[in-house]
Amino acid sequence: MSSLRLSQQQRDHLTLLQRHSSDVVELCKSAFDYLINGPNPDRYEALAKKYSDSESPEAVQQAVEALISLLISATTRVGSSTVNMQATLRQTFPDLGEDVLEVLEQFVTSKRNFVEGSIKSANIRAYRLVNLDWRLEVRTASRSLLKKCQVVVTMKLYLHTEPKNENRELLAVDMSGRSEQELKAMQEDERLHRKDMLVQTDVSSLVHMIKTLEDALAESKTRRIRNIVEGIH
Amino acid sequence: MDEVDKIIMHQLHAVDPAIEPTEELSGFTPEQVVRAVSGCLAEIRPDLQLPRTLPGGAMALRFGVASSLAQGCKDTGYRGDIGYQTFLYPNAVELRRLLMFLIEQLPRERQNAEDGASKTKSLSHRELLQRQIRKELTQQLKTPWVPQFARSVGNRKSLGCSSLGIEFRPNINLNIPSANPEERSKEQQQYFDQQAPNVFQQTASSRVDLIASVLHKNELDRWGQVVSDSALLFVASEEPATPLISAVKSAASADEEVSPLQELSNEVQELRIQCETLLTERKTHAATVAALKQRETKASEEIARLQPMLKLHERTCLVLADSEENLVKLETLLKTTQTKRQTLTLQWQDYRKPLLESLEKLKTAKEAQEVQGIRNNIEQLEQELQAKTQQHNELNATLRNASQSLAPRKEYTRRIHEFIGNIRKQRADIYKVLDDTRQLQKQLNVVGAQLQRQFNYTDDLLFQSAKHDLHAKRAYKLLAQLHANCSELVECVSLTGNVTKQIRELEVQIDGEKLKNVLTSLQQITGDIQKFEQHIQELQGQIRAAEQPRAGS
Amino acid sequence: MATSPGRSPALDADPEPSGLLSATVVAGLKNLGGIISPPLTKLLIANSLKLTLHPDATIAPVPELYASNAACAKQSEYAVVTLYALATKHGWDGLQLRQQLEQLALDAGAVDELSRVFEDNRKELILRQLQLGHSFPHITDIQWRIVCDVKSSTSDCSTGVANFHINLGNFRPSSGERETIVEFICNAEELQSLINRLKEIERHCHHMAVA
Repeated sequence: MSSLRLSQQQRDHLTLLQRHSSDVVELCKSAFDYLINGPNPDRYEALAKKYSDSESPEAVQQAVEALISLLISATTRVGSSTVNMQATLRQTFPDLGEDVLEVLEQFVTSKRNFVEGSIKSANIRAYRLVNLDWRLEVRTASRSLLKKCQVVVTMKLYLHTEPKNENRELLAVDMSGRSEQELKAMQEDERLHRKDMLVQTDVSSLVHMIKTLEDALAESKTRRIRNIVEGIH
Repeated sequence: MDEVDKIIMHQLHAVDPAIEPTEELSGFTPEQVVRAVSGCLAEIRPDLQLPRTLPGGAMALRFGVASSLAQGCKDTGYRGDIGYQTFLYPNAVELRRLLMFLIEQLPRERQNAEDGASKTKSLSHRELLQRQIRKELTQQLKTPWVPQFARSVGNRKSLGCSSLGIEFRPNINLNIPSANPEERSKEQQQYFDQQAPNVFQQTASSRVDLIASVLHKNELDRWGQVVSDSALLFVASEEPATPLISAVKSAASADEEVSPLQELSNEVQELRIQCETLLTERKTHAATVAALKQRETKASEEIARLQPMLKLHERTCLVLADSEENLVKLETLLKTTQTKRQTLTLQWQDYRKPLLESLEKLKTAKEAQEVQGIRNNIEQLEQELQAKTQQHNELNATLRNASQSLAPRKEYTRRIHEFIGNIRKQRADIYKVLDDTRQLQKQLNVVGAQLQRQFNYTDDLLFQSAKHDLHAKRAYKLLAQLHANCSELVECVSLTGNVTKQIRELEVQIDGEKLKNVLTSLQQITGDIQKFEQHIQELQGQIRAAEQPRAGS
Repeated sequence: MATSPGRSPALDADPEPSGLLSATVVAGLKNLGGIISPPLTKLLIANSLKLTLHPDATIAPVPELYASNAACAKQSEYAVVTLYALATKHGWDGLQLRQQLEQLALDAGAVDELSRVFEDNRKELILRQLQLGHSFPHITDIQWRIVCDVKSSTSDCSTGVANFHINLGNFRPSSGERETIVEFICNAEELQSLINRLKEIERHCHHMAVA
């Protein structure tokens, strides 16, 4: 198992880890807070004061950011096999104490799910189907034909580019303590990532669509496809 | 069960009047079964061609009919066990299940349709539309999927679902020669004759549609004329020409020097004031004119009133001028008129008498006629009343019969409630039993665990002492034996439980099989097989008979 | 034939009987069989119908149609197309069309030809006009693809799950070229729920069809 690739700069930033494990726990908590709420200078200043020995708040922030980058690269490099995590970490930081390594491993494995979904489908964001509304219509007259009876199924497709439902829920934060501007920005973001489509189809095509989709689903459950997917994995 | 049968028979009677509602389901012959099932199937899927009756003779034919009906039932979605045997060797249980399924599948509209047929054409637009929608939907659900590019051909018959949408985008400036050739100028005529594109070229662009364009133009031509008069004002106000001219004017005046402009504006101001004063003057004049006109009409009215009075006065003056002579003249005139009047009254009396008499006569005749009419009416009404009472009696009798034969709805609901209550009770019981079982299981587990621990402990204890003590050794052996025997016993008990369970299942199965009265069916089947053999032998005989002369010749 | 045909009393009584045709259309119809000779009339009607039904059809040019009285021919083409469009719009059958035309005192041969052609092509005309009007993008075709990523720029290992790319579209009627309306991805559960949704619609349709 190879070690994680970290730049020298990142290693420098992570020198703060050579401390007591409880301090490292504090740092890891800060890192997770960073992921959700962004940087928090007051907290870093308090931490820096606590360490007292000539550490600046900037250094603490850099350490926190380096921790996040460690989390991401660990998630990227190491597959789902949790067994190797500790070995990898040990190889990456040969000079760290056992208890600190344990804290780090816990940090990486526990926050892994949070990062994983986002990373894996983040590169090319396609639209996902979130919801579907439908209505059965009968068109009875038009400007060019006063008497007709045309049955149409109208559907509204709600599409979203966010990676996955569960991740969106994880990332969802309470709206209460936010400023007007922030809310607006969030709505804008929402608007950018969403697309609602109005489409129609006829009943005959609908039946065909169902059949085709079921075929697709059945195909995905065949031994062959499963073998391929597992082989890739 | 017989209630269900009653309902089934009632429905079957509605489907096929040949099936009497009084018959018993268990007594159905294969012919009746075929009739009932094919009747139901024909109602559910009218497009299906199914045999209506079971042919009496050849077994092969009978078998074919029964198989096709079974296939039909399967296609309708019946999940139960069905085959030719259901029809040829019917048993009540299976038949009941099948018929219940079929009756549930019967289209709900049937009754309404029957009502509608009796009324004929009283369908509202709404109903017609609903029917059409239904038809369209069933058609679309049933027809196989056709790729889009083949739809204009494939779905031609069903008139639709070509799934192609063309937006209604007319070319709003369609250029077509207008109706009257006289209105066209020479240049226009020449243009239309030589250069103008035809209507197809004008709508060739993919952004507009030919039919939309012509519909639009036609409507514009028709309504444009009607609205043009009232719309003229509107059009004029939109005209951009006027503001353009004024703008030009103002620009021109700005080029000149200031003083003449001032002068001109002063002049304009003066003229405006003058105009205003003249207008007010005109207004006052108009008011006076109106007042004068009013006076004139009043005066003419007065004159009209006075003129007849004047005439009267003139006449009296004439009479009074020569009073004596005139008085005599008037008296003679009076006398002559009086005599004349007397003769006239006499004459009137003569005429009046016969007329009065005839009037009297007519009056009495009319009264008599009326009386006669009323009498007739009374008689008619009496007859009607009798008929109605008779009808009432009849209906009463049928009502009584009906209420006797079919228990009222209330009764049914009461019974259904009862059933539901029973089922609830049973469910509660089942839950209770389940709880008990679970409790027992728990206890068993606890006791088992306890026992195990006890055993382990004892085992340890004895094992320890068995090393030194001979008796203990024996005791240990005995303990091991005891343990083995006990576990064997437990196994036996659980085995017994399993066996009883199997026995019960088998009993249920046996009951089910018993219901199917296999024996009679078997007899029938053997009879049919014999018939088959006979038939085959006959056929073989025929073949032989046919072969022999051939061989002989 | 060349001059105006025998005037029927109906014309004098009612100058615009159907009320649906504009004066231009009536004038164009009156040209048929008169100013435009009977064989040309036949040709003109056939051409107009063909171009109405198939806008992108190519028809051999007929120079004699426009050789003399081109203005009248153009007017008549417009008139024939409009007549058929209106007749279809109002759901007339061949007989009704004939009745309406007879009130206009047209040339008898032209009336025969107009009603015959209309009767023969009524279904196509209805189909053509059925398509006209506002509608949302109509889905007639569905394509899918099962995708599983092996490696990506942000992750060294695969997600280990197969995803479905689903593409809904239709075919452009003029060129037959496929047009994508909407494309999205979903995993197996999402696909299952989509199928359930669509089946719900189908079930509802069934319900409507039976009840």
